[in-house]
Amino acid sequence: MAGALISHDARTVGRTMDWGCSWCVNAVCLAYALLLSIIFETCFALFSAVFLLLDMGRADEVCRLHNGYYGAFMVRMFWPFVRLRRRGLEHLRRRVAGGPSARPAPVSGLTARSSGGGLDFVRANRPVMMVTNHRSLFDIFFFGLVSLPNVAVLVRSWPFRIPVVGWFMRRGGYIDVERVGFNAAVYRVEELSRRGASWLCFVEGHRSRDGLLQRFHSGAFRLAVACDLPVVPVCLTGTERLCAPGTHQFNPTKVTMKFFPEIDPASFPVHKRALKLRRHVEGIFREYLGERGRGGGIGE
Amino acid sequence: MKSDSTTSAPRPQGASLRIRERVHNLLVDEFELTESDLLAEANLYTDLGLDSLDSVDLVVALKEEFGFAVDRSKDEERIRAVLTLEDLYGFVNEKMSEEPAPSG
Repeated sequence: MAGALISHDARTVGRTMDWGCSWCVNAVCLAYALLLSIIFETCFALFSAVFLLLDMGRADEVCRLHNGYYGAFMVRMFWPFVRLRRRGLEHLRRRVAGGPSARPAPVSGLTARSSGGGLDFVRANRPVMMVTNHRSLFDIFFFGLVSLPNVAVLVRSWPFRIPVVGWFMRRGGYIDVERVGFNAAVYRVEELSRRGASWLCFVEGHRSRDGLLQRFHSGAFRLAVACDLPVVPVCLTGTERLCAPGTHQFNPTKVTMKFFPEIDPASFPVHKRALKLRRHVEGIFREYLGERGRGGGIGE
Repeated sequence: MKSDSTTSAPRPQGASLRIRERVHNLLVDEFELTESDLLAEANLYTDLGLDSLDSVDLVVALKEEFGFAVDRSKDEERIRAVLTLEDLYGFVNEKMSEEPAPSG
């Protein structure tokens, strides 16, 4: 296999990839992925059936655990595409569980070499609202490597309609932000946060087609303000080359998950707090990605 | 007492202008739109580029800005019917007249 020659310029998305598989190779790989998915689900079902069928009161946590591990599994599943470097995943889990003082370690995924940075700021013992950019269908799977097993996601309506996946999402307490009203969402976020669940939201709403950061939506920031959850910006780069929007071609890539220090919503002025928080986080992303901001602004 | 039409006419228009201004400020802040694009006949989705997720944000932002309550089950059809900025002004006007609330 040819090595990955990756350009780090996000604007190259959609152009000729450095390395690609023919459609038949992709079909074989997808069939392989499907087979492993079935194996994973079958094995996990044996474990989860006790909770799910008997409804022991923690079924939603089991579902979130399942979703997290399935994401990590999916990332591992792509190993035939690239050279394998397995070091770091276990260290990462221990480090996050160990709290801010634990030693940082690089992470290696399979499809892609993924590296984490700044994860010291994610505290395992306190719920947070992780906000991230969205570049690929596979973004969500990389959060299986974050080692916060109890993560619920703020999602649009359409993924809930996917068979099996939608069921796990509903049972896992994921919130359909297009159908659940704001007050109901606040209630559910508070309820799950009290039980230790952290949250993840793709604040652009949908995948970027050109690799550039899109305008952020305010919902996650409003929820963070209403529920007093620290916001942790997580910037994903590289996933757009794994399977670029509009294509079905897999490419090796280096994925970086950059974790920024958590931000306390209370540190912003009360007036239009959520908007100011949103602008601040958007600025962090743009600075990291080297992109210019868009027009408009909020009166301070 | 019956007021003169020449003096009473500007009052609702003035109130409407104030609402328009606040709606415009909200749209500029929330969705990073430019003031010059905010024409009354502009379609929120096709002309201003908002999407379904933006409509959720818009409802929450309107509630915060104007202080009225929006009952999703009761108001869903009315929200769905809001397509242009003019519709949006009308929706806010209706909600404000239904329940005059403390405004910011």
